[in-house]
Parts: sequence; C-alpha cells; structure tokens
Amino acid sequence: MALKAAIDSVKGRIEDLKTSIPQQRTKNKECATVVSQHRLGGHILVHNRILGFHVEGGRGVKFTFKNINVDNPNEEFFFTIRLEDDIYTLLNCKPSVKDTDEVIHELNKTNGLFKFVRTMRKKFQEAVAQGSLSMTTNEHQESAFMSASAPVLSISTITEGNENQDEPIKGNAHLQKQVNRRRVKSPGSASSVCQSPRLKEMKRCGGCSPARYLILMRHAGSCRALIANKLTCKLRHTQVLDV
Amino acid sequence: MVLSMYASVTNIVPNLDEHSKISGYIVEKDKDAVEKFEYDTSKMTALDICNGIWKIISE
Repeated sequence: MALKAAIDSVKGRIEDLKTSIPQQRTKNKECATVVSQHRLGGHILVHNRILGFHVEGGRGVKFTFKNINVDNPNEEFFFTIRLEDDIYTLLNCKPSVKDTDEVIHELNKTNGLFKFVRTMRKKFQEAVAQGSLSMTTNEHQESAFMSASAPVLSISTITEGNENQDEPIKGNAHLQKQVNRRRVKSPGSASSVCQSPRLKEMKRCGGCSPARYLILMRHAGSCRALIANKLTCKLRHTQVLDV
Repeated sequence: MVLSMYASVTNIVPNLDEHSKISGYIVEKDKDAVEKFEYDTSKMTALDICNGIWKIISE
C-alpha cells in the first residue's frame, strides 16, 4: 500500500511538471524578448546619443548627424538618399557640400552605401571647417583694410643747431625706418617736440592669433624717434600692414 | 532593420554593461579584425568621444 502511494505521488509530480514546463518556456521566451529589445534599444541609443547619428525612413532614407559643429554641437546636418531602379539619388543635403556629384557617382558605381554615409559626415565636417577659415580670412582682410585706410603719421626731424622745427613729412606710406640719434641742444626745443614722456600707438592685426601689434614710439630726452612703417604678419597670414 | 542600418554604417558593437565608460568593439569584416575602444566620460567631452569613435570608424 505504501509503495503504491509513492508511485501515485511520483505520477502526480510528473503530470505537474508536464504542465509547468511549457509555461516556464513561454516565460523564458518573453524574458528573452524583453532583454533583446532592451539591448536593441541600447544599441540604437548609443548611435543616437553617443555618435549623434540618426536614420529615418520615408520617401528616401534620411541620415542625420550631430556633433559636427564645435560651436553648436546640437546643430543637425543631414542628407536624404533614395534608391530607385538600382540608381541612388541625393534628394537633399543640408548644408550643401562640394563634390556631391562625384560621391553619388562613386556610390552608384560601387553600391557602397555605408561608406557613402561615412564620407558625407566627413564632408560636413570639412564644410564647417572651411566656413570657420573663411570667417577668419574675412576678419583679417577687414583689419588690413582698416589699417591701410588709417591716416599717415607725420615724422619730425630735428637738426643739430637748428632751433626751428622742420616741416613734417606727410603722404609717404613707404618711408624707410628712420633713427635720429642727435641730441637737441635747447631744452625748449625738446619740450616742443615731445609732448609727452612716452607715446605709444599700436595697431592690431586681428587676423592673427596671438594678435600682433605695430608699435610707434617716441621718447623724450634723447628725442629718438623709432617708427616702423611696415609689418608683415608671418604667423598665419602674409598681409602687409601699412602705416 | 533600423539596427542593421546603424550597425552597417558604423560597424560598432557597443558594450551596454558599462555605464561609466563608453566602450565596445569595431568590427572590420573585410580584415577579420576587431578593435576595442573605450572612453571615460569623466575625462572627455561628449563631442570629443563622438568624433574619436567616428575617426576610428572611418579609418
């Protein structure tokens, strides 16, 4: 009787397992699906947030990039590509970049869409970089123009023994650098020439970094006059600043 | 399908278990090679990390 009861108990357990195993399998599948979706979302999240890369389907496939412009990382750069009759067509591109025809031609020749996408991101970066350089160039040109239009400075010369001051030399923008090392005899004459103990006038070239200055200096006492009439910016530009 | 597009463009398999760092592998099927990348978010800006990864992708 005891043995029979044990057998019945085991049979009952078997029946229970036969019922619960499929249910457990179903739960496992559901869990696997959730995990898979989570990982899927994680992968897409990495591309969207970390790489600033987004793909969107529609009339064509729109590829959008961020983190291109350093000054505005959230600015979106995108293009839309469409495949029809085995031919790729660039529907739009913002901003416009150079050599898109060549790149599209290469795409249709090689069918390398994924490489094309990477290439377009590079071209967006190049477009931004060229835009920055253009701004720098314009700034420098403006600075050079302002310098060139500045009034020409007058130069005084003092002759030993001559108490009267010579007429100032004007209008010549390409004068040679002059150094007058002669000492003035009359204190009154020195006072009339140098109106301040030390006079500086500086012109800034804004196109260079760090900025460079053109310095005009006059000194009292020995009445030296150091004037530089021309300065070439060698760090980045070859513009000539005239005074 | 979307994930396939992302993966094909970037060839990236990100490591989703590490939260303080951005890491993973870049798979180069043509060369049968896998390159590991790892960036510490506390030491680099998001912009630098992004461009660093894209630079590896484009090599």
